[in-house]
Amino acid sequence: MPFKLLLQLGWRNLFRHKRRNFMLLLAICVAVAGVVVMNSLIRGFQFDMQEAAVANLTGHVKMLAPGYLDDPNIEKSFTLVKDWQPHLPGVELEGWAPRIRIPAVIMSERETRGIQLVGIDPARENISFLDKVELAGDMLSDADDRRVVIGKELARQLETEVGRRLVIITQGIDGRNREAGFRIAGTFDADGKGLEKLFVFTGVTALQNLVDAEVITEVSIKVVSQLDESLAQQGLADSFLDLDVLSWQQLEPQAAAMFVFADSAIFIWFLVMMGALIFGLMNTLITAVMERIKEFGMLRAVGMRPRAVVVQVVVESTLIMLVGVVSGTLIGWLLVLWLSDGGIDLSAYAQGVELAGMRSVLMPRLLVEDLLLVSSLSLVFGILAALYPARRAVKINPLEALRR
Amino acid sequence: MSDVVVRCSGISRTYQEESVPVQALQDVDFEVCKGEFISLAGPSGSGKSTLLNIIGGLDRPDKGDVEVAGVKLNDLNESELSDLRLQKMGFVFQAYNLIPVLSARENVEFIMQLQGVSPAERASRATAVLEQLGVEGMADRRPGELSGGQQQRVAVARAIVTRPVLLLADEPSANLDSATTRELLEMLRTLNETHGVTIVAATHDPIVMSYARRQVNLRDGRIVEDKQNEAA
Amino acid sequence: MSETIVLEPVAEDRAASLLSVRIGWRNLWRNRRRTWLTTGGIAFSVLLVMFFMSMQFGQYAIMIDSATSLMAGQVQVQSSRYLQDSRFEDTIVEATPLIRLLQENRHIVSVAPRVEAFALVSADERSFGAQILGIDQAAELETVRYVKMLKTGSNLAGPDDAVLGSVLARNLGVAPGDEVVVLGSGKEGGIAALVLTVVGLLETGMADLDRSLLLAPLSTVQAGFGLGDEVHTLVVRMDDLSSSDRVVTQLTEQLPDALTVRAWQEILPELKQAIAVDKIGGQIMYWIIMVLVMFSVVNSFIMTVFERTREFGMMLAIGMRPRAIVAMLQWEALFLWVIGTAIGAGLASLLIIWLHDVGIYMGEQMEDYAKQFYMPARLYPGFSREVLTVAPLAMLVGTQVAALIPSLRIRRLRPIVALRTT
Repeated sequence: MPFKLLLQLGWRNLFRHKRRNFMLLLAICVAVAGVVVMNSLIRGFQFDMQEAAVANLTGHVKMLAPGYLDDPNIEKSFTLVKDWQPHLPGVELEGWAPRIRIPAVIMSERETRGIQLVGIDPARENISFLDKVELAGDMLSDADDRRVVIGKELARQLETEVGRRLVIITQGIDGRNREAGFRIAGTFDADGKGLEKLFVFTGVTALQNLVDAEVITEVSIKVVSQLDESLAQQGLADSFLDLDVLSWQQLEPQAAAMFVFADSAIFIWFLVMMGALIFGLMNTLITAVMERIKEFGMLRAVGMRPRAVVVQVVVESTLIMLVGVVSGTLIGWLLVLWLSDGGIDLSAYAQGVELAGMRSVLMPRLLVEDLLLVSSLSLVFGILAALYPARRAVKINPLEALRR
Repeated sequence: MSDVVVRCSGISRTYQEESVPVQALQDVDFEVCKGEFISLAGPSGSGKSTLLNIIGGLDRPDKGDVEVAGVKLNDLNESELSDLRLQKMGFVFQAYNLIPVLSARENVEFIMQLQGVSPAERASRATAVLEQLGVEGMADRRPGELSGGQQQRVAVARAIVTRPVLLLADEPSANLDSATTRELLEMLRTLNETHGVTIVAATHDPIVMSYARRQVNLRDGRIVEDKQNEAA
Repeated sequence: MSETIVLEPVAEDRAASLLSVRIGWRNLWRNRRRTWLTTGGIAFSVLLVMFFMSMQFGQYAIMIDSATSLMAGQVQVQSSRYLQDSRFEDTIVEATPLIRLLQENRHIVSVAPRVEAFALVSADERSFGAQILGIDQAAELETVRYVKMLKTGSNLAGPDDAVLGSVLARNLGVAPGDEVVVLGSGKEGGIAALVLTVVGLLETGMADLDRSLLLAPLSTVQAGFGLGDEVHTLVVRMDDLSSSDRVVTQLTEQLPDALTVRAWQEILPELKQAIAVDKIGGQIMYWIIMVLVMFSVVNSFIMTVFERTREFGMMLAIGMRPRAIVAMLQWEALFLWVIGTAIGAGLASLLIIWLHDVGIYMGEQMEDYAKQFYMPARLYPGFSREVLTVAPLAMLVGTQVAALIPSLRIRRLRPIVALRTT
């Protein structure tokens, strides 16, 4: 029997029981749209977390002096040649930033806190969260700026404000403490209070002057395409044999673990939805076979091959799955678009989501690869669900069927 | 006067079949007296089924009055019609007569349960009627395990167990061979003659007609012949 | 002829309604394959929802317990002003009688007083900021866990002992036996200086604590920072988490207005919020699964009603009320629910009971992540009222509605039309 004819038969049969097939379509739509929306939310969460981890002064790849991770200290530092530029053929960089990052104590007139003092070149910090924070007051003007930018929460705890002075104590290159006064240029409002309490920024050259060494403790690099991550890491490792060159996964193992876990969560959710769907799908397909015993008997009697019977049932299942998957994907896509308009505001749970490394606004993300994978796997499920009913249809004995 | 069970006067009924109006009955007058055995005959579309359905309270005429056992059907709502069918009528259809998930006895008791007859009385009446129709041996089988003739006997048992004023049969022999049809009709005749059950059967089966004592013929929605069957 | 209707109303006795039940039950087994597939769908969703819920809800109890027992306690008492501004001066005065008062409450197991200060800690040339906690070692051990998480060395014993967070110690380059100098500002601007000997290092796994914590004996810190019988926080351990709300209300009435009593939900808002977000996420999942299965059930009933149209026509013709047929279908739905839920809930219970002891290992890497949520690396599902009721009840309502949707047609079904269908 020509396939085209089978296709036509299958299509027409879909309209024989409109109500029933409509319900089945609805179920497929809910399943597929549910998978698409959930998928985009999990991906949103996954990328959010990764981005937060990368923007959290980590970058995709970071160069550090050996031993710095165990003992973050100005002595564990290195120098770059003048006018150094990362030379990574074939890798497009979003940016790179040299920094000094050392522990320090900060004091206002009233309070004392322990912080991470970070010397930066503000022009290069487009790759970190600093680029996106809301700022009260000014940003540092350049690497020579001798003022500080501190977190809003830290300012609150220190009971200080923009324009006031703070005293910072940190260790110099000779191991002795340096103490210096800094004026507050601005306060930043980051997504999480954790960052606001931890980081205090000043100009990198200004900080070098304080610690008496023209060194830096890290270079953070952000690539444009994630695929280039390992290439960049390799390239840097080759040219800086005496430095540790680490990826964000190595620097933020928790976020990396969660990233992998999110992948499996997407897969589990897909299986759950398809599992819930398959009962209804098989139910309908079996009924469609059973009520057409006579018809199948007749088709067999006039010479339709058993294999063609199987194909016909599978074609019907695939057709309805196809219609369901297409409309479900479309609905899911529209839902994602709707959710993307401003994202899902979780700010009421801000501290809770910060625990999970998320931002307070969850932006769903729809990947084309995911859509293709979901729809093609759904079709595979449709075919699998049809196999049992198809086998039942093959067992129909033409004579017996016609006698009924 | 009191022996008139059904009185139809001037009834008409038009159907919309695929948006084409079909005149099923045209100004028909028809009476059934107590104890009659009537066959309604005629080709398909003659209106015999429509007449039967109207008498049975399953359908309503567009025009004219119907009275069954002194009750004007025109005045009844759907629920009252339903109760009337339950209490005054017995139905035998051509197929799908019995509830497939209930045994023969349960099918017979079913209708009495709907009427609210007490369990003890239900049991004894069901036993009696199944015996009377010769299917007491099949009481615990389900319809699927009975032959067509046996199924129809059980259906008749269910129809008469409530002692209806009227037993209505719609093509009762449609799925039976002629020998089984004769057995069924002998039984109906016995019921009619010895127990006084009034029977109206719509049919185009000559065997059924030959058993009826009054033969009514319809054509194009009108009664064209109404005669006593002396042979029966 | 009398015009009155002579029909007596039909007595709908118990027997008649039992009949709907019986026919409904038997009808289920007319199409066994369909019944099993439909109940299978119900069972599948009940199993999944119950199991996932038990994982979620089982975790919450552990999370709360592990979070509160780590350091924060289930209830805290602080000066209201300290809560607002966290200024060193805003202490609880006359702490000892207050502790005694709290200990009289039968729900309170133990009370740990703390002095909290921020100071510069130096060893040789290195200095770091640290959170100084003056603690009553014995009370702290009874109340919370973090004091037991020693990496090396021993707990506080002598008046000049100090226990440091492991990262702080590493940054300072000190080990047990070394001396550290604590320099801070005491009450009313006085300078506070302590010389302490490191006796132990703490490793809690919480980055914040390991980086900044310095523990010293309560009396030493009080004396050094110019405090009398004063503390900043009283950390309370309850006999049972559920009694914390009641005790908070009780204590709030009992204690002067200058003091604020808070339960864990306020002490650790991030925990409460994380649970809330997780619950919302879970609920979306559960409803999608259940709605999906409901469509299958509706479909199953559409097919059933469709196939039995003639039969329904016959039933209507012999005088059965449409209502009775609808009731019959509702009974069928109820039986489907009973079977499906029994299977699903049964399997879920077995799974939960089994995993309740064994736990599910989430992998080495998830362990660190889990710690952030105060969760152990193994997940242990647990029963709760929600686990046991939500899925079964939602499915009960769902199946009844699912059966009702196609049943609505029966009310419009005309017997002669139904009888004519093939």
